Order: sequence, then structure tokens, then C-alpha cells
Amino acid sequence: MKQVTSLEGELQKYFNYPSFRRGQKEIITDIIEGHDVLGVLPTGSGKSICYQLPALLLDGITIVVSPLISLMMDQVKQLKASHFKKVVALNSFINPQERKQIYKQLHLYKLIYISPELLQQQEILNILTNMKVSLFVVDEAHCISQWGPEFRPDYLKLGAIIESLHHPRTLALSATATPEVQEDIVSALKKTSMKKHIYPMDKPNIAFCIEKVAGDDEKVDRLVNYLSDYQVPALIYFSSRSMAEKCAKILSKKLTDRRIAFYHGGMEQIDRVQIQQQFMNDQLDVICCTSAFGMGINKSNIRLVIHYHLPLQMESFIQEVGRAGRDGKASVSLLLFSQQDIQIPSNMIKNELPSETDLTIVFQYLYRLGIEKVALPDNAVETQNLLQLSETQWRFLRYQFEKHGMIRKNKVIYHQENWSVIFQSIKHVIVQRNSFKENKLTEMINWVHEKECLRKKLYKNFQSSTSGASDQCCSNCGFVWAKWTPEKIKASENLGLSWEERLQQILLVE
Amino acid sequence: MNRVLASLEGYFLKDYFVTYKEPFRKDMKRLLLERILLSCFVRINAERTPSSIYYLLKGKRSVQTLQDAHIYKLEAFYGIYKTITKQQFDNKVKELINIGMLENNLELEKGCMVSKSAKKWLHEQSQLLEYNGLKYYEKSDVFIERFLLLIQTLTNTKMINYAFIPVIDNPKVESWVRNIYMNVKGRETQVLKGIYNEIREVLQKFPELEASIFVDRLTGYKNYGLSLPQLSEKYNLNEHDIQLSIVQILHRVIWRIEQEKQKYPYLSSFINDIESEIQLTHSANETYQLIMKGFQVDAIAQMRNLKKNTIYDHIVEIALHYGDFVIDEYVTNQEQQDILYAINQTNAYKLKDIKQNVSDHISYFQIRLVLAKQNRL
Repeated sequence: MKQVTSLEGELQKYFNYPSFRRGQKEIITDIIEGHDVLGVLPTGSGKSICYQLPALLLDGITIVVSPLISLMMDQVKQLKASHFKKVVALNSFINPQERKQIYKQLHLYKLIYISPELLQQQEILNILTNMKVSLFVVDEAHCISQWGPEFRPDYLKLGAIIESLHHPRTLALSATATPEVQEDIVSALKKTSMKKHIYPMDKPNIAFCIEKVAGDDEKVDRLVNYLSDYQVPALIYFSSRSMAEKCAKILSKKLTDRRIAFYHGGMEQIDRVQIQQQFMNDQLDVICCTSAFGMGINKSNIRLVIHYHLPLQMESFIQEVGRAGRDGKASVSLLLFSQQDIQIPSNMIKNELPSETDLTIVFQYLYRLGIEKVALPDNAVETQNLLQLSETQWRFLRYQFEKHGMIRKNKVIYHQENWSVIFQSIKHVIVQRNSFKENKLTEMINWVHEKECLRKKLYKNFQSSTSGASDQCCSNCGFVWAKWTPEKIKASENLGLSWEERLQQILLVE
Repeated sequence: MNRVLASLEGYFLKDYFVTYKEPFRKDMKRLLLERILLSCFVRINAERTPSSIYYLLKGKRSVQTLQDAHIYKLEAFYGIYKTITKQQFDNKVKELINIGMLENNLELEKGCMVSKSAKKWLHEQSQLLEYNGLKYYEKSDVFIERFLLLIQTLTNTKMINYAFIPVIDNPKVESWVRNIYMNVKGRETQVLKGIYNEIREVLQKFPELEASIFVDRLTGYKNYGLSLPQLSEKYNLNEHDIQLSIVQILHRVIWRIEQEKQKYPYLSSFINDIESEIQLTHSANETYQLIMKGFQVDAIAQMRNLKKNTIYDHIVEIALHYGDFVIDEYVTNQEQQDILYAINQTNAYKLKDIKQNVSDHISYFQIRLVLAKQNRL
């Protein structure tokens, strides 16, 4: 094993960072020493270094379970860009042929990202069981908890997986875990002796500002005002793709000197990379986006994060706001709220899980399959389309059916008595989850109407105290726009160049 | 054949000395999708459903779609708009019906006719529609992906920056670029200059608008290209026009390179190794191998555990693919003459109409086979 004292040297050598950020070294040291660790670090604090460096220093392989394929891909791209080549991402998007090829050479990798769904497949599990797994990482570990903001049933099976991999040391990471959620993580992974490293997530340099407006027109007016006053890198979050697109169009028309674009998960791969990187590269000033934007983005000078719509819960809000001011300079979070906004998140919550009608239809479908002894289609998308369910809805149901023994592999096992009991039980889970989310939303709405310090109230569920504001605090503590004077960014437009000149410039021809 | 049809004779890139008098104006509408759809509808003459055009644009790998492309001389448009969705397509057709450019009535069953005014409008359009879909539908993707990634790689390595996020996420393209990079390492300046000279010369031969869009899509060192929505905003064109313009310029560029390979050594190297001909499907190829060994349809169906009709489909595909494939074993000479006569009589390619005009013993398979053979030429 490498000397602990040389950790900084290793960090410099592999990642070209001169020093650790808060929490990283403590977590890495514990891992190297063989402990199980639970790390709660705020967004933008470099969570991934906590396993990327150990992956290089430990003998065997490191497995990282990551819930979002796009996030996984981003991480692999960034690692490859920084010369960490022995890394691979395994998920359902890789075609079976390619996957087979990768499986054959799995021993060549040091770091393997994998989706929780794929980890359920016996084929890959068999291969991994025969390898030396030195570190098992659960990224976004709050997904384990029923009380976490992005609960994913597949995560609940990770405890059993860790067991079949002969209990490698385990690292659970999250940026958003209340004490309640932390307990859930520890017990679900069956790692009771986990060392906890919990770091405060409050950002002293961000001022919180809520402005109540009459409706969309007024929201747009405010956006135009602030964006023309402040020429700084800004993110505007929307809860729908179409609204992000529409607003980007309006703002571009009204603010002709600003470079504005939209970003969401429905765009083509190349366009997503180009928009992300234009923003990183200061070719763009403002991005109108959905929550799909930002994960894995490491831009230090975002000054303004605006929420055009109300987020569904404080956790998402804290994460999104945390993208502002990573360089420590004074930055602002602005939430625009109008009374009509409450309807949108409420509907989103209702549509996340299947309704009772959906449930009845799915049960009838399974009943028919069970009676006729027909297996479920292999392809989940087929089932989703047939039953008109979203991916999340079907994933949720499938987990429930498996848990209750209604489905084994792809076979439906019909049992009249049990099924009516199970129906009630699943219905109960849905009701419970929905009311949990409604409560989360209520928390968010209450925060909007809060009369006392917004900063204190925002973080109160996550940590016992906040360190106070380093600049202005919040709109309840007397925030004044005029007192916020961030540095302007220079806009270097090469307008007026002919295409030949632009071509010459891009290809670096003198 | 009337004047309008005559003017639509070819969409292929063919006239080497054509000049493109198409100055760039900010308010210019291209309406490429509308023009392409209407052109397809004119050719198909209500003998197929609108969906057949959707599959054509998507480049569906089915015998039916390929055969339609040949029959109606729409090879140029095969696979030129792979990202269009069924919904976008249906909306556009509906729109064309609503504004009276397309007409559909019960007599036409499911097909649509192009209205007189629309034909006139089509005829008035001066910008050329030039594609080479069937030949380039795959090649153009490979070309642009390699081009984008190689330019990004070489400009970055020239600036000694080895950490950048690639705009193309495709392992095959990545490994191609890696190979090239290994060969030209240290000579980035020279290679970039070479590529610059060649691509500039090629682009100069085409409309300024297209050249400009092409350049804006490129990513270099600390200089990321524009997304489709950004292009659409910058040029005040809808996204269909942007997509179809990009495909058009790509086809034009590739065509140009292929005409004078010696003149464009750098650009040729992007496509030298790519097959331009469409490949037979794997299954049709297996059937083909067995036919070559002298097996009959029944035997092949039995051996491969497939339906006879599937084997017939394969044979039509093979006839479309290999111009010299002899079909006499499946349709006698006399039968071929009968079918050809019926095609001339009905002046249509509707299988049902042709079938009604030939002796009863002639099958749909035989008609399709003759059509395949006929239109391959």
C-alpha cells in the first residue's frame, strides 16, 4: 500500500491538482485504510475524487454504481480527457456485442461505472465475483432511501450485491442526505460500522432571493431586467423542456447582445456536448435548462442561478443553486414565484408513479399473461409502450412485482388470493410515496413564504447550523440588487467574419 | 411527360459545371422539406401511402422502401433525414394538405396528389435540390463525424491541449481518428493547413449559406460549434431546413471529392475505406449464397426454417442489389413480357393494378421481381 503521507503527491501526479478540497483527504485516507465510509459532501466539492484516486492506488478494481447514464458518460469522458484511460461505463445503452467485448477485457480496467439495473444481471455479476473488487462505490446514495429525493428501487438490492462480491470496502456518497436518509443508507447496505464524513452544504457566498410575481409575463420582464443589468454567466432552471426552449427564444430576441441557448435531455448528443462546452468556454452567457443540465459541469464562475419554476423539493434546489459561485465570489440565487406555479409540480408528482387505473390495467395484463403462460417481453420499452407507462413507472412496478413474487425472471406467476393483497399493498406504497413528495413540495412552498432568514431555513434539515453569509444574506435579511456588483465577463464575438475567415480561425491556419 | 415532371427528372449530383447563384439573404426561406415532400408525392403519384415517403427519408432498410426508391426514381432522397419523427412528418403532410398543396380524396385511397398550384410553385424554385441518398446515406454520417472529431483533435493537440471533451461519442470514429492522429502527430499545422485549403476550395463551389452553416458546426480549440437550434436561430431557418441543408452540403462535398480524388488527398482519406453501395441484409445474403450454390426456393426455405415469402423478399432484394442477377428462373421470358406490357398499359406501379392486367398465374412476387430488375437499370 502507498504511504498516506504521499496522497497529495498522488493527487498532483494523476489529476494535476495541488491540494485536496475539504473532506476529500479524510475520506480517501479512511478508504485506503480499509474502512467503509459514508460521505456527504455538497455539490461541487469534488466528490468523485474520493473514489477516483483510491481506484488508482488500490490493487483490484473499483466499481461505481451510478443512477444516471448521462452523468456516467460525462464522468468517463472527463476522466479520459484527463488521461485516466482504464475506465469504462457499463449500461443498457451499449449494444450487446460491444458489451460482450468489454466483458472479455474487464480485467484491463481499474474503474468500472455501472447502472444498478445492469448490476442485477447474472452474467456481469458472475464476472465481477471472480475479480478482486477493492472498492464498491454507491454514488448518489440517497437513491437507496425511500426518503431520498430520487428514490430508485433497484438501489435497494445493492446490499445483496455487496454480499455476493465478498464484502469489498464500501463508499456511499451523496450531496443531499438528511440524517434520516443517512440512517437508511447504512442499514440498506448492511454496513453498520461505516465511518461518517458529513460536511455542511451551506454556501456563504450565495445570496438567496425570492421574488413574487403575478405570472409568466412578469417573470420574463424580470429576467430581461436582471440579465441586461448583469453580464455574468447564468443558469435559468425550468421544469419543462418546451418552456426552456420558448424562454431562450424570447430572451435572445430581447437581449440581442447576450448569448443565450437552451439545454435539455431531449437534444441530440453532439448538441448537448456543444452547448455544455460553449458555456464552460465562455462562448455562451445564459443557459435556459431543465434539471438535466449541470451534473458533472464544473464551471467556477457561474454568478446567477435563477429558478423560473418551483423545484419539487429543497434537495434539488440546494443542488442546483450549489452550481453558483464555486470560486467563492459573491453570487445570487433568484427564485421567481407566482401563485399559479403550485399546479405544475403537483401534476408532475402525480405522473411520476402509476395511478390506480394504471395499476388495474397492468394487473389485468399480467393476469392474462399468467393464465396463457406467456412471458413478459424482454424489452422493457415494449412493455412500457404497450401499457403506456413511463420508464420510471414501469421500473417502479417491476420492482414491486418482483418483490412480491408476481414475476420471476420474465415469467408471471398467478396466484388469485395473493394478488389482491399485493394490489392493495402496491397501491398503498404509491399513496405513501405521493404524499411524501407532496410534503416535500409543501416544505418548498413554505420556504417561499418564509418570513425569517431564508438561508437558515433552507439548510435546517441537513445540518444543525449555518456559517452565515459572507456577502449579502437573503431577501428576508435585506438583499439589495444594487449592492451586488459582480465582475462583467468579456464577450468576444467574431461577428462580421466571412465563413472563410471563420474556417481559418477554427482550423488555426495563419 | 409534362413539363413539371420533366423538370424534376433528377435530383442527383451530376452537372459538374453548374454554378450556384444563391447569394445569402437573411430573410431567405429554403423550405427544403416542403419541396422534397412535394417532389416525392409528384413521383409517387398517389400509388403509395404518405408513410412510404417517411420510410424513404428515414432510410428504412426494407425491400419495399428500397424498391420504391428505385421504382419512383427517388434514390436521391433515400435516408437524407434520419432524425425526422413520424409526428413531424405527419404534421408537415397535414400542413401541406391544409394549405392546398396536397390533395387527398377517397378515390385516391390513401395516397395524395400534388395540386396544380403546388406543381407551379415547385417549378418556380430556383435553388437546386441535390442529394445522393442511396449512395451516401451512410457515408455522409461517417464523413462528418470523422471530420468533426479530427478537426477538434488536431486543433487541440496543436495547442498542446490533450484534455478536451470530444463532440463525437462513437467508438468506431474515435479509433479511426486515433489512428490518423498517431500518423500525423507533430505535423498538425501542416495537416490542418492541407485540410483547410481543400475544404475551402470545395465549399467555395457551393452556396454561401451552406458553406457558412458547415463552418459554424465545426469545433476547434476552445471554440465549440453551434447546435442545430443555434444554427436555426442564427440563419433564421427552421430546423428541417438546417438539417436538410447540412445533409445537402455533405452530399455535395463528398460528391465533389469523389469526382477528383487526386485533387483532394486529405478529404478523400476521410471516406476512402467506406463502402458506398448499400449492403445486402445479412439474411438476404445467406439466401443469396444458397441460390448461388443452386438451391431452389423451397429447399432454402426448409433449410433456413423460414417462410417461402421471406425467401421471395430476399430474391427481390438481391435483384435490386445486383444488377446482373438473372431472374429467368423465377419468371419466364414470356411472363416478363406480359408484366412489362401491363406496366405500360396501366402506366402505374401499383401492384394491384398490374396484377389485374396479367394472367392469373403470375404472382405478386414475379411482378415485384420484374419491377426490381427494370428499375435497377
